[in-house]
Order: sequence, then structure tokens, then C-alpha cells
Amino acid sequence: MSIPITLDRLSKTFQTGGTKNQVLKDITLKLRSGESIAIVGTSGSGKSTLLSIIGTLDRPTSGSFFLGERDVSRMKTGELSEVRFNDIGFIFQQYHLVASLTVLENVLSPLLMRKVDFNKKERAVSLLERVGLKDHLHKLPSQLSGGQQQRVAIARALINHPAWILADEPTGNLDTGTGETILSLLLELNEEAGCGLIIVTHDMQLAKKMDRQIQIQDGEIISDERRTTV
Amino acid sequence: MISFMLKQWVRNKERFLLSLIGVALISGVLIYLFNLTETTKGTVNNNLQKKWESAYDLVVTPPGSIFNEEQLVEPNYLNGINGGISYDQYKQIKSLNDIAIAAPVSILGYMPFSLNMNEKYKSEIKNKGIYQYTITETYNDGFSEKTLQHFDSFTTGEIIYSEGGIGFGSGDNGTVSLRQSQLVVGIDPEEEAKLVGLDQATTLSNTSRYFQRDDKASVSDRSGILLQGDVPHSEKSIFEIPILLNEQSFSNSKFEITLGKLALPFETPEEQENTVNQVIDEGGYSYLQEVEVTELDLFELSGTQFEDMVFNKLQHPDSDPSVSVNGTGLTFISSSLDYEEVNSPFPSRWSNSFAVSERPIKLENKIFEGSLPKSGFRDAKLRPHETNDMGVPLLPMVKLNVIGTYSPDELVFSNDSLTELPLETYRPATADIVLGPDNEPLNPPGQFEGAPGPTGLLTSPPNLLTTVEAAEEITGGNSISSIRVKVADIEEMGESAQQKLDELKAEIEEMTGLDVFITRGSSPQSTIIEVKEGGASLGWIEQPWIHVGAAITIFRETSLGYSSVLLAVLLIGAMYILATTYVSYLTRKREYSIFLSLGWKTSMLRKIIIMESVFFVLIIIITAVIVELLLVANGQTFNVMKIGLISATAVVIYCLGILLPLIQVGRIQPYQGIKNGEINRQSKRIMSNNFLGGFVMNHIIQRPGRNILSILAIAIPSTLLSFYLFVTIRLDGILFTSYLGEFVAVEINQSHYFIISAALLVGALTTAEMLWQNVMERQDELALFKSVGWKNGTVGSTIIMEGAIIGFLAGLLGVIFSMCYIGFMYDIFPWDSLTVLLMTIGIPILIGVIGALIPTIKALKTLPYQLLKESS
Repeated sequence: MSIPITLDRLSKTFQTGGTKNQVLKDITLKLRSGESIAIVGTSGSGKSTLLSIIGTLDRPTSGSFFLGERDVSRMKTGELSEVRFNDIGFIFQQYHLVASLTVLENVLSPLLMRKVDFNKKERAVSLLERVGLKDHLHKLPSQLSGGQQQRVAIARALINHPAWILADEPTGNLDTGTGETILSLLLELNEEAGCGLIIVTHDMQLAKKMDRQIQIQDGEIISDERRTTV
Repeated sequence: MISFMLKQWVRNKERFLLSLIGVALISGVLIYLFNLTETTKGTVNNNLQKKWESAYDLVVTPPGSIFNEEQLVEPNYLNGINGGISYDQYKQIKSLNDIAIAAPVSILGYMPFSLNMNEKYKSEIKNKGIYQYTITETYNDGFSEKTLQHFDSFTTGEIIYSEGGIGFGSGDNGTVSLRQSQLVVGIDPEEEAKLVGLDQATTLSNTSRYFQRDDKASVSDRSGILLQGDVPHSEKSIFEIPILLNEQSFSNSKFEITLGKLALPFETPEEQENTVNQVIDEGGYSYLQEVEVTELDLFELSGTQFEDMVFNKLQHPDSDPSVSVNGTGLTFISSSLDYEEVNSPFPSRWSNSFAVSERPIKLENKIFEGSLPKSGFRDAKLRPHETNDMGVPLLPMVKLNVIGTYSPDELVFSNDSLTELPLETYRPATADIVLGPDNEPLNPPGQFEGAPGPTGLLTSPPNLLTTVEAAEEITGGNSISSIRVKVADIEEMGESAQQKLDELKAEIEEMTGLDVFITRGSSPQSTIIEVKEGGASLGWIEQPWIHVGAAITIFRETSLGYSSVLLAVLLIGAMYILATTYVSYLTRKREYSIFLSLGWKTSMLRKIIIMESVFFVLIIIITAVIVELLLVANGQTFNVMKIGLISATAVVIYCLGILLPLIQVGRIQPYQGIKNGEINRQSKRIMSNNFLGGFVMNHIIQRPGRNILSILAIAIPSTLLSFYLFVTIRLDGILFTSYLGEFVAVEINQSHYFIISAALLVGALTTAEMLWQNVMERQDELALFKSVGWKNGTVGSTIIMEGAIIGFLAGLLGVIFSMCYIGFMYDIFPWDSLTVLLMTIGIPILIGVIGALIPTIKALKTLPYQLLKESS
């Protein structure tokens, strides 16, 4: 399940009206799965755009993006869906749970109309147990606190054994205490599942807990450091 | 996935309920509409079908012989045509493939009969004196009492020898002679049996039977020697022909016979001689007319009695010796009427009007003038003849071999003069007197009566039928005046039948050069004719003229009308579905975006949209089946076809309706929805936002797509509503120029209104959906306005006003559409019809407001703190 991510001179330009806005400039990166990576930057630095390109939610304007051996930047929409389904788990700052589905249903929702080689419900329940929501399986998202909702989102991201978990400011909407718990949970799961974890954040303290910190400014990587293990 | 869908609905109860109401309405309309196919539309078509069927399908006539103006044919046409079609042409037509019946009619002309009541006044006449017979035949045509014949004759029982010029007859035995002319017509017995069942209507007894094949005319020369083989027609003089008599008289005339004795001395031979001399001196006949008369007897005899006596004697020559009948010569033929097109006094009621004038009857040969009225509407002529050396016309002498009698009542054809093509051969033509001489309407209308004899405006049907072969013998060829044709295998009314008729018409015209009118599918059209006598108007009669091709036109119009309702329902239904699925798409766009980022494929989203529609279609089908089962419980048969039609229509509506969301869903980017949300952030303005109307208008302009959808959803039923209103209020049946059209229009109005109301409700629901979505999207905004102090009233007003403006725009559109539609159909643009205009605009506004009610309630529930809570 080791699928490295390779970005080669990847750029992204948004065109609004007549003005072009280059958000990412010639990003070249190699990310090993299993690693926990923080992408750090100020607002508008391009870090979220980079994450959504890695998550196949957006396409680069130029450059290439390989997921393992596969050239993701050349994939069709249907193939991208497969990539998202099989290789990537997404966690958003706003949690983005489906309000009309229960906690359990939200976790199961990526598997709808999909065949998998494990028992869907057992896996969902065990994941929810793992994130500490055993007693909330049949509640609706609106009945949960922010931290609980984000745990649901984490369980949902893990449901299909992804190679990568991508989290966009996962603690941004949470208080410091809850945020730390969530982050620890993510790191634990990163260890347990052996999947890669990429977190976009503007919080340097948080980033320091990751194996690798990549700093972006104005669409360019200005630093790429590995945590020095003490 | 189904459980996923169901859960979605359960947790979005309000929206699901709205969808269900829409589905219920649509299934209701569909079920009603297709039940209409069974019932009302069925009735209309059955009626059309019934009216479409006529006694015959085509009528073939000699070129130019029937008066017709713009497809309008006078109903009373047969009598004016005196032959012109040859027997060969008849055989040719009869041999055509698709001809089931070809029934020819030969108008042979009028034969004067004398009914002699032998020695009726023998005892009176025995007394010596000069007697006066006055014989008057009158009938009431509905305008006034008309004299058909009136003459005085003078006579005495004595035998007087005189040089002449005495003006009276002598040696009289008291015999009274009455005269009347009878029309003789030739038919083909086999074809007539097929056409109207004349054989079945014939009385069967030892003295009465139908025509047989060997009933041929036998021909003799002037001296009575039987002629056989090929003989020049000029030598043929006396014809013995087989005759079938009508036993039910149509006569409406009345004979009045008076016997008087002149105040002249005539007892003794001296008195007689003196009186004779005096009469001669004083001027004979004209003097006698002035002499004082003492009335001795008066009796009346109806035309019916006259005919009964004549026909009885013809059939049973040996019966009652006190009566004898003379009738030998085929004498007169009639002409067609001279119609003059005139301006209609009430063009809105009768688009076509004509005038006919009574004029003096003149014959080149004075001998026969006494047998005809002094004036009439048709010219009467002597039959084509040769004259002898003395200038005496040699008219065909006819001996009648009465083989039987028939009863017109027993004939197989409808007696409803409004539906069936007038079968003049067997039924008197009718007309109502509707306007007086000064164009004043008459209430109740009078009945205009046909006249006996050849000169009347409406002539009586023939009482004497012979064979076409006999007619050919008498005339020497070309005796056939018209051929009534029934075409094989065209039971169902419709385009294919019409095409077959058109093709046959063309084929016959091409082959024979004769005129062909398609009478099948012709509706009677009310036409008025001004009747003039001596240049002065007597009044106007209304007559059902034959509007050639009217029924097929109405059939087409009804089909068109029905199709347009069906199309409108389909459109409105599809638009509603489009609205609901689009709104549902908008609300779920964000959700869909999340699902996409979780690895869902677009096809899965499409599947969900399709599944939902399948579910609603199933609900419609199940509802239809349940309704049908209820009908079955009430004694109807289960109609699979109807269920099929409803299902197919529902499928079409939903397929059209989900098209847009299916396309749109492919455009959702997985992250787009999450980042941008669903709210359209562009800002357009056409008015200042500082007043309510402007504020609302700007809101409408900002969401052009969905609001156009709402406007169209209301505008389409409004258009039809306006059209029906126009038809109901303004036309009031006036523009329906034929009875059938009027009938059809009245028949389907109610159901049309019902469907339109349902369609308007669906329009309201569409508006509700759209405004609901608008409110949902603006909840933040509304909450914000509330938190800055907007009153509930202000919030409510904006939504209600939005509905009202959408309704108003729909109404405007509806007015434009309906004016075009009315203009297209009737060439009238009723801009001045205030009721129609006001209702066409007023009702959509109401519908828009109704549609805005639920969203308004939703908007009022928006709480100011919601804004703060949501953004936390």
C-alpha cells in the first residue's frame, strides 16, 4: 500500500476576469507514503490549492502529478473518482458531513454502490469505536459537537483503507484542546494504518508534530524540513 | 441506494411532501386526461363519427349542375338536375375497386294526374241549369296561403249544340276532376336496396313486391305496336314502366271544390236558347264568371287524400268504379334555383346568405300552363320533345305498371336533418322562417313548407319510383342526374379515410369528367335565404346547407385541440419536474460535491436522480392502476391501454424534467461546492434597491433561469385559459359556422377548464418550489435583514411580491401567446376584450401569490440568530 506521490513542476493558475493569478509555481515534490507531512503557509499562499490537487479535487494547469506509477494529471473524471475512492481519504476544516445522514451512514457513504472485500458495517463501526464515537452511531451530525463531527469525518476518510489521508486545516474550527486530540488521533491512525498523512495548516506548532514540514509562500516551496527525532 | 434515497426523503419531509403533492397533481391530471380519451373525447369523436357518416360518401353530378359557393352546397340539389350522366359512365364508376354502392338517380320529370270522381254531382246536374265548379288547390308555405291552381268551369247536364264560344260545357254527368303533377324518378333497384334498404321498405303482398330483374320497360310506337330490338328512339312513343309507389304522402296541399248554380234561366228549351245566346253575346266564359252563383255544395280534399286515391287506383285499377285516374304523359321538368348571393343581415350568425325570387311561370306552349301555378321559384319546362306537324309537342306517353308500394319510414337512414345529408329522394327538405321581411327575428321561427309540383322553392320527394333502365328507355340515354356513392371499408373516421375519399373523387373526375362532391364528413351549415315575391321580401328562411368537408375539419381541429391540451399538460408537467429536480439539485449540490470528493462517480449521482424519478413514475403508475381498479369495481373494464398511455406520458414528462439536472450534475467539481457554496454571488440590478418593487425585481433578475421556468410554468396554462375564455365569452358559439363545430365546442369546454385549473395549480407549485429555493438560499440574507430590524411584514411582502411579479410576467406572456393563438385560429385579435385580458393577467398573478405563500411562511420562520449560529 505504499504509493508515493510525485509532483513535477506543477503549476496552477486561476483566471478571474482578465487577470491571471498564479497560485502554484513549479512545485516539485516527492512524498513517501507512510510519512506524516505538514504543508504550512499563510492564507493565500496556495497550500490549500496544492492539497486539493494532490487530492484530485482540482487539476494542475501545468506540470505532472504521479500517484505511484499513475499520471493523475492525465486522468479522466471517472478515473479520478476511482483514485479518490481507493487511495485518498479527505478531511475538511468544515467537516462536510452530510446533514441528512447519521454518523454511521456518513462513514459508510463512500462505499455506496461499491464492492469491497471487507464487511462494510463492521469496519465502519470499528472505526467509529476507534475514534471514540461508539455511542453515537445513529445520531445526526447536527447532534454532535465540532470535535465529534471531525472524528466522524476522520472515520469516513479511513473507511476504504486509503494510502493517503489529506486534511485541510482539520483543527481550524476546533478549540485548542480538541484540536490537539484530533491531531493525536490522526497521527496514531497514521502509524496504525501505515497510510500517509498530509495536513494543511497555518499553525507551526501543529506542523512540528509531523515528520516533514513543507512551507509554501506565494505558491512556491520555501522550505522542506524533516523533523529531527530526539 | 434505495434506502439511502428513502432516508434522504424522510429527513427532508417538507420538500418530499411538496414533491408528492406535485406527483399527485400530475398523476391526477394524467388520469383525468386519459379518462377523457375514454369518455368526453370519446363522446365527441363518437358524435363526430356519427355525424361524419352520411347516407352516402360521394355524389357524382354532371359538371356545374350543383350550386355551390365556397364549399357550401345547397341541400335541395337533386331536383334541378335533369339527367346528364350516361349509363356507361355509371357502369364505369360502379366497377371501380373501392366502390361499395353506386346508386344512380334519374329525374324523369313531372307527370300530371287527373283524379276523376265519376258522377259525383250527377243528381245535382240533373236539375236543369248552368253550374259552376270552382276548384282551388292551396298550400301554406309558412309565409302565407299560396294558390297552386284555381279555376272555374261551367257546365250543364243538357246537351247543347252550339257554334262554340259559349264558355261552358254540356252533357255533363257530374264528374269532378282534380289535377296534380307527380315526380317520377328512376333508381337502380339493387343499389338502392343496398343504400337505403328500399327492398325492405317495400310492402309484400300479392299485389305488392319489390323490383325484379325482369321488370323492364316495354316500348310501343305511336300506334301501340310493341317495339323490340334496336329501334331509333324517335320511333319510341309509349313506354310501360315498372313503378313502386310511395304509400306515405308528403303532400301538404288542399283542394277545395265548390259546386254552384248560376242565376241564369235554363229550365225550358226557350230559356236555354235565350241564355245561350245571351252568354255568347256578353262574352262567354268571362260573362259567366260575373253571373251571380248560388253555392250548392263545397267539399275539401287534402293532397294526401288525393294521392291516396290516385295511387290506390293505379295499384288496383279494378277497385271503386266511382273513381278513375288519368295520367299518361311525362310533361314537365324542373330547373335548379337561381341563388343570388346577398349580404347577410346578421353576418355573425349566418356567414352566408342568398336570395331567391318568385317569378311568373311561362311556358312556350299555353296548353300546359293551366297545370302549373302562375308563379314559382323554379322554372318549369316541357320535357325535351319533338313536335308533330300541327305543332303539338310529342311528349313520352307512359303507362304505369305498379308493382308495389314502399314506406319511407321503413328506410334505413337517419331522420335527423341536422346530421344526415338530406336524402331528397325520400324525405322532404325543411327550412325555418327565422327573419321577417324587415329582417326582424321571428320567435318562435316559422316552418317553411315545400310545394308540390315542379316550381316550388323546396320540392317534394318523388312518389313514383321506376328503374334507371326504364328511364334510359324514355330519355334515350343520359338520364342519370346524380350517382350517390358509398365507399368500401371506411368505417373509422380519420385521415386515411379522408385520403381514400379524395383519391376516389380525383379518380372519378379524371375518368368521367363529372363533378364529385365528398359528402361524407360534411356538416350542415346554417345558411339563410331571403325569399322574394314580386321584388318584395317575404322574410328569410334558414336552411342547413351542406358544408363540404366540415366534419373532417372539425375532427382535425378537435384532434388539434386535444393534442394541444395534451402537449400543454406534458410541457407544464415536464417543467414542474424540471423545477423540482433542479431545486433539489441546487440544494444538494453541496452534498453532491462532498460525495464526489469521497470518491463517488458522477454516474452515481445521476443514478440517484434517475432512481428518484423512477420512484415518482412508479407512484403515478400505481395511482393510475388503483384508480382503474376502483373504476373496475364500479363496473368498467380494466383498460391496459390507458395505463400504458399514462405510464408512457409520465416517463416522457420525467425524462424531460430530469434532463437539466442530469447535465448539470456532470459540471459539479468535487471541491467547487465546498468552496463556493451554492449561492450565486453575482449581482445584477436593473432598479434601485431602495424601494420594495425594485428590490424584488432585482432579486428576480438575479436568478433568470429558474424564474423564467416559473413564468413559463404559469404562462402556458394561462395561454390556454385565455383561449378558452375567449371562446366561451366572446365567441359564444358564434364563430362556429356549423352545427357540428358548435356542438363540439360546447361539449369539451368544461373538461378543458378542469385540466387548465390543474395545470395552473402545477404552475403554482413550480413557483412555490422556486421561491422556496430562493428563500433557502437567502436565509442568511433574510436573517441578516431581520437582525438589522426588518419587520416580518417586510420580509413577507418581498416574497409575496416576487410571486406576484412572476405571475404578472406570466400573464403578460400568456396574453401575447393567446392573442397569437386566437389570431392564428380565427383571424381576430381581441385586444378590446377586457374580461379576457383582465382574467388572463389576473389569474396568473393570483397563482404566483399562491405559489409564494409556503415560501413566505418559511421565510418568516427564519430567525435572526440563525445567521450568527450558522457562521460559527
